[in-house]
Formats: sequence, C-alpha cells, structure tokens
Amino acid sequence: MRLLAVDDDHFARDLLFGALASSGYDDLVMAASGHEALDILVKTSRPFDAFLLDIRMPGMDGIELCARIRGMDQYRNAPILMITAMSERHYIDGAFAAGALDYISKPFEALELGARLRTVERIVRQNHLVAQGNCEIDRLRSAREPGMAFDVDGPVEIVDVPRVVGLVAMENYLLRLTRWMTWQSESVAFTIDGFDTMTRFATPVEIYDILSDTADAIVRGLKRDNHLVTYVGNGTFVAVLHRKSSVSDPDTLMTIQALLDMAEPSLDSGVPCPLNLRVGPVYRPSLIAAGNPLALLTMPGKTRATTRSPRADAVQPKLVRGFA
Amino acid sequence: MTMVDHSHPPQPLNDAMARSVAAVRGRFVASLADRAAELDALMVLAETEPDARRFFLRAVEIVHRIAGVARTLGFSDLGDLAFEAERRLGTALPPAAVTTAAETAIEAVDHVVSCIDQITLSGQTAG
Repeated sequence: MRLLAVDDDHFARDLLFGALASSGYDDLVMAASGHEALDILVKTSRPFDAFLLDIRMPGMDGIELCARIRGMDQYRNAPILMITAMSERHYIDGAFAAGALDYISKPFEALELGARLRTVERIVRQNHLVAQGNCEIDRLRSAREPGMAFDVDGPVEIVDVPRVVGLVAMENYLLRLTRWMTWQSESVAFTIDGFDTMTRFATPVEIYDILSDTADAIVRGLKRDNHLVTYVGNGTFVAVLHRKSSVSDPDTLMTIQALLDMAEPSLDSGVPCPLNLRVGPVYRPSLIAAGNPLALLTMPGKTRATTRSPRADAVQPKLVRGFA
Repeated sequence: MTMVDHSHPPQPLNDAMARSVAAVRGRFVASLADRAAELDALMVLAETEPDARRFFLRAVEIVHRIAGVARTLGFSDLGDLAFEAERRLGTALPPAAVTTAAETAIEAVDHVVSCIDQITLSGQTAG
C-alpha cells in the first residue's frame, strides 16, 4: 500500500515514518506542506493508495488539502486519514465533511496507527477490486435496463455531494465524538417514498442520480446547520446534526421538498418519477444513551419515517400514480 | 474444562518504532531551548506591544508542534502543558477577547517554558 503523509513538523514526520515503518508500511512518501503534497501528486508516476494528513498546517491546512485530493478523479475514493492534536468538534466535523475516512488524535500510538491502517488496507483492496470490476459495471450501466444490477439494500456511496459521507466514514466520525458531543447531537432519517418500486423502473445510473439529487436537496435544505449525511440503503439517508438544529422546522423540510420537486428526474422508461421524502422522528440521545454514539446512525433507521415532507404546492404526490 | 485466555498483554513498541522515537527524542530536546526562548520573547512582546494577536498566533504554532509530539516522545507533562497553552491562546485570539483571556494564555505559555527549562536543565531525554 503506497502512502502519502503530510505534516509541517519534521519531528512529527519522523515519528510518523517510524510508526508506519514499524507497522510494515514502508512504501511511503512524506511532504511538509499541502502545496508540496499536491505537487507530488501531479508529478508522481505511481499513484498513492491512501493519505495521512495533519490538519493544522500553515498555508493550506489539512482540511483544504483533503478536499483538493478528494476532488481529483483518481483519488475520489482513496482513504484519507486525518492526524491531529485538535479535538474540538468543528475540526472533526470539517475533516469528515471534506472527505476524510477517519480521524486519529495526536499523540498517536504506533499500534493504534497500525490497526487503523490495516482497516484502510482492506478498503484499498476493495477499491482495487472495484476498479478491476469497472468494465463489468460499465457494461451493466451501458445496458441501461431498468431494475438490473442495483442492490436496493446496499449503502451506495454518494461521492459528488459535499457533506455526504460514506457509511464507514460516518461510523468513524461518530466514534470520534465524546459523550458530551454525542449528547449535543441529534439525527434523523429521510426516506424516498416508493424507492423499492422505483428501482424496478429506473436504470442504475438513474437510481444513482436520484440518490445524488436527494442527498443534495437534504444537504442544501439543512444548510444552516453543521451536519453530515450518509446513505444507509433502501432509499434512506441519515443526517447527524448538532442539537437544536432546524431539522424539525417545517420551513427546512419544505425547502428540501421544493429542491426535490425542481430535480424531478426524467426516466428513460417514461414512467413519471416525482421524488417525495418521508421524514422520521428526530433522535436525541439521553445522557446515558450518549455512551453509544453509533445509535445516532442506527436509531433513526429503526423508526419508520412516516411524516411526509410538506410540499410547497400541496399537490397530490404523483409518485403513487407512477409506481403503485 | 480448560479456559483459554484470549487476552494478550499490551505489546511494547517494536524495535523500529523504539529506535525512531529515540532518534527523534534527542533532536527534539536539543530544539527545546530555542523554542522556549522564542516563546519567552513572544510573551514579552504580547504584554508590551499594542497588538498581541500576531505574537499569540506564532506562539500557537510553536506550542501546537510541541503538543503534537511531546507525549509520543515520553514528555507527557510537557505535552499536556503545551496542549493547554494552545487552548488558552486560542481563546485569547479573537479581537474581542477579554484581557483576562490573554493573561491566562500568557500564564499557560509560561508553564510550558518552565517545563522546558526543567527538561533542559536536568539534561533528561525523557520525562
């Protein structure tokens, strides 16, 4: 596994090098700044598999660098680990929102670093398998046949919407929260009405676009709040927010629905496909329940989302007619 | 019935990591006197010059770097003090920060400098 590690402090770089080498990761390039890292990425003939970035660096910080790397097609899915002494929540939120897979606190332990990297290695192997299978996926996509090759239950990764993170990154993010931070959080599930029926009429590309548009509407509708959103499968998204967010505010839900109405997809099959969201109850952990931050992800999904988000035009949803 | 113990004692850092830590530790200690001198000068300037912010910003950079590696190198107290100084300096940075925040930050940096003095005077290579 080829790694690029970035830290402006030479002592930290040396320690990182020792820790990585001692864990068996010696295919390693070090950079002292974000700009140097980007320069290396442009010039290298051998692509990197994963990245370790310090957050606090003069000039371009690790969060900006993370977003820049994530913006490169080649590294869209590459695991990025943030290593930092910063423990404040806005740094943690910022790192994951920029596309980090995990967040390691300084001072780090070599054993812990090694354990995290073994998880990263598994993801890198999966990415390689996915890359090898791209031809098959392209074939399936080009077939453009409704209902085929789409895992309805699967947590598809939405890669093109800011603040939308993969399921593994969301789990890592939640595990970084202290009990206090967890208690200060809330979560809610948004479910696309009739999603399972929709998958029978839409091609995989169309389904991905529907999920992406829905994620975008949720993120933009929640714009006033610090939040992260992940897709958990079955047409359901879970948003984790700071407590006392505006998620229960009807205006927020109306904004999300209005954005979805504007993004109504046109399916090749000609079946009408308006998007309607059902919103579940807001989950707010008690101080005791806050000991399990992963409940922010699992609890909203357990309660079926039953409240239909209000529509600005109050028109009877066409979805029922299209897919009933 | 034989009980199988699946637990393992904590493993020490392996040789490669131990060598790396030892090599960095010596250079880190050698760098501390200069860092303490700069922190001292910055805090004097912060107390005497009208705009303390830019001196605090540079001090944040220094204590942040110390906080990032000191514990890994075996200097737990120094790491904790540097971390606290970074936090205090952070609260003193906003333009509207009250004077007491700046005083508390300077005091926290002084603790870091004192700890560095102890390390360098005692000639220790690990705390």
